[in-house]
Amino acid sequence: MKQQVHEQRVVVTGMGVLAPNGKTLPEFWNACIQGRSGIDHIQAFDTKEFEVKIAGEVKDFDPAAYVLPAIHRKVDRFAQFGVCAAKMAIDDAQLKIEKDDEFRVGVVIGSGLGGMIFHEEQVIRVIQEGGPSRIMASSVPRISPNSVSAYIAIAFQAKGPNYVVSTACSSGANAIGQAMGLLRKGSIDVCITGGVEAPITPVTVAAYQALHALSKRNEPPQKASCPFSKDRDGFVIGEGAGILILETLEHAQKRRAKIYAEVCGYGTNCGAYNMVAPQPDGVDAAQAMKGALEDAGLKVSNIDYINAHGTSTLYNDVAETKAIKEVFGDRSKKIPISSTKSMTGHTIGGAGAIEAIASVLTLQNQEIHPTINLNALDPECDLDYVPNKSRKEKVNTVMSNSFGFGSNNAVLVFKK
Amino acid sequence: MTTPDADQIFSRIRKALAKLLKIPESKISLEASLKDDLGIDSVDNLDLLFAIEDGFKLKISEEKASQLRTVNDVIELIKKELSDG
Repeated sequence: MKQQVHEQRVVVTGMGVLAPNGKTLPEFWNACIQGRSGIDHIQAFDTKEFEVKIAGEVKDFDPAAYVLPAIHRKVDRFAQFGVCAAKMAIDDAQLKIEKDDEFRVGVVIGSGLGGMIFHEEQVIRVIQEGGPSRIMASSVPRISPNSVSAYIAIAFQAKGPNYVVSTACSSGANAIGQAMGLLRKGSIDVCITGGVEAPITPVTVAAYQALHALSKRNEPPQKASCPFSKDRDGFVIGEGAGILILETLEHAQKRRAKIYAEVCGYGTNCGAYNMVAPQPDGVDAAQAMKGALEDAGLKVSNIDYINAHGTSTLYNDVAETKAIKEVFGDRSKKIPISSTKSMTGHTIGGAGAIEAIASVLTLQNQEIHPTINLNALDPECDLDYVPNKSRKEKVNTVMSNSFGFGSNNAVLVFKK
Repeated sequence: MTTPDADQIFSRIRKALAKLLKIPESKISLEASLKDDLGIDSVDNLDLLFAIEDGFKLKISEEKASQLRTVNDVIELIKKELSDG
């Protein structure tokens, strides 16, 4: 296959995170390095009738601390996460969007589900409380998945291409990959990108519970997410957002921006296998990893660390391990691999972006966060998952894996 | 049930607006412009109408609602509708 000609190199110049284990970059990173979980008993609703009683919630989140009520009051929680994390990322990048440049700033955000909280409230009003006249007029703009990208545009006057990518658990990674594509081509100079989700609602948790996708190890909540462990029994659902400011290298240098890392590779495909289960041998995931390496112009020997998809489900962790072995061969046992989800739970559309931020922070800090709760390995998971303790390592390149429902795979590569 | 007076209507509308707009009640004065001071757009206007209808058990036409400019206009309209009703 021919090597793509990259007209523009793309760099990360700002980041904002709202994760269950941290609401600022330092808080999030310290928690990850110390192996601190953000998973706890669900506060958002009464779980009395639920088998699953735990989640990774972003506690004490106050959107008013970030943006004016004129913005945050009009959107569902998932979009509040997006707008507020975007505010943090823009501040971090010291980005000023001038009138002349507005159309050169795009917004590409991942969300698997959209405005579920508001949607459920309205369903109850209509079905239980007295018919269609009970619905609020603002329902459509609050529920629509693209309300998050639209309100980021409105809040910060970013008038370039604007869309939401929805590929379940890989939405955040695919959004970043799509943003990188726009920047490489030179269609825009800057892109506000990442992923968001707010799925801790009775219907959504019940729906994932019905798929037997979620862990029922409710006590203690912090131990439930245990990727690659023989004790794992499903993922822990989480909420949050990761937003990154991507820029062409040229634009970043011109405005003397701080550069965290380069986004240099993106591979994506669909295994065309099953809507909810990964292909057991991981060949499609392996293909996406190879695609990302090829796109980055890097070899297997160049990758220093893999931030795994690592959901803690029976199927994913084995398939991902097989995929890594398929791609990295003899080197697979020598590469440190860890799962951010062991501490955040699975934030669905937010995951790929929160983990992209973890990947960039790994490069910046030269330290690899652990996979927590890993005491007894699944015999089929026999690689180095950096169990329980962080590790200082020289890391120049990171591969970040995201594999979504619908066999949707997205892999990103970052380098210093 | 006795008809609420202007003060009671104001107090209830203030609460409803504060909830809808996520701002403190103290920011909602009688003279406040719905659009310029409180930032109410066309969609909010429909939600506000909904809250009024809900809170005062009234049916208000969208045409009448579209003519509201200030918080005081809202109170006057409710007073009129309640006494006509």
